[in-house]
Amino acid sequence: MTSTIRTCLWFRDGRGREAAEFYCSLIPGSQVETVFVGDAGHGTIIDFSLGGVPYQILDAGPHFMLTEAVSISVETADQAETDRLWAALTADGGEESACGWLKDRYGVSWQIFPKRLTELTLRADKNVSAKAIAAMMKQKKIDIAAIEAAVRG
Amino acid sequence: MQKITPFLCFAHEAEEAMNFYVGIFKNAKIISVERYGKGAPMPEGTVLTASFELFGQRFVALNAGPMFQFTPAVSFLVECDTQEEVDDYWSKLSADPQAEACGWLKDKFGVSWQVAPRQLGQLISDPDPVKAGRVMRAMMQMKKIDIAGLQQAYDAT
Repeated sequence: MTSTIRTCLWFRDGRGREAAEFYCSLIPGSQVETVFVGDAGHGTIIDFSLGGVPYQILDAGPHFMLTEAVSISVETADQAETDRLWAALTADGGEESACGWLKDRYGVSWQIFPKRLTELTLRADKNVSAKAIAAMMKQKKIDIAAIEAAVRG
Repeated sequence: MQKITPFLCFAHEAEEAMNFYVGIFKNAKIISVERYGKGAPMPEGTVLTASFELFGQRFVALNAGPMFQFTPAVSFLVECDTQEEVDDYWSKLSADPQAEACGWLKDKFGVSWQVAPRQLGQLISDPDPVKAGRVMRAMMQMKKIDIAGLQQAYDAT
């Protein structure tokens, strides 16, 4: 069999299955693969694929806290997709952070990052990328038109 | 291009971590390394992001300064087929004996991993709750997973 690395997110509150289904509803090419309900005290394990990338939620009590040190980065094709994901993931108790980062209602950190922003910040010449990064630093949700305007400056 | 990418924030070891992981896993390679420019929060030339593949899957590591802490709340589960693979990944990755439990370990960067044989998932989800329970209890006693030990617990009468 092909080996894989599955990113495992620890959940504390019994909402792991709900979260996996929610994430799969947002990202095309996603599905819940298996749900394992252990004996009392051993939690629930949900394996799912997010856009073809293997993930797991281990919903097993208040031992560990999610932090921003590992996030899920989503490359978006256009502003409409950025807006749709940003709205869905910050709704119902999610929080906007800076520079395209957010924390969803379950405490999972995401980056909603337009493909075009990667081109402008990392692939462009130094002058363009400095302007793009400066504009990005002022934003929460990425507004790619505003960054393009700043680059044209 | 992969749409979803697990994204790891290191204090300043992104490049070292990438090289370490690429050296351990199969079908692994460095994709790109971007560096901080002038006027950035880190010295010019410091690695900003490092993109790499492990088992053909994309990951990105960022140097973010000491803002965020890795915790076991995110771990990377390596699915293995044989005890030899379990032993190999375990010996290469584990750096903190105190963190070793139930197939979990921490590497030298503080990142948590689970090194788990596929048999573990199959045995603990066995339709016979008595057998599955025995396997689960055996697993809870282990640090590195011992496939023969799991099978023994499953077969016990």
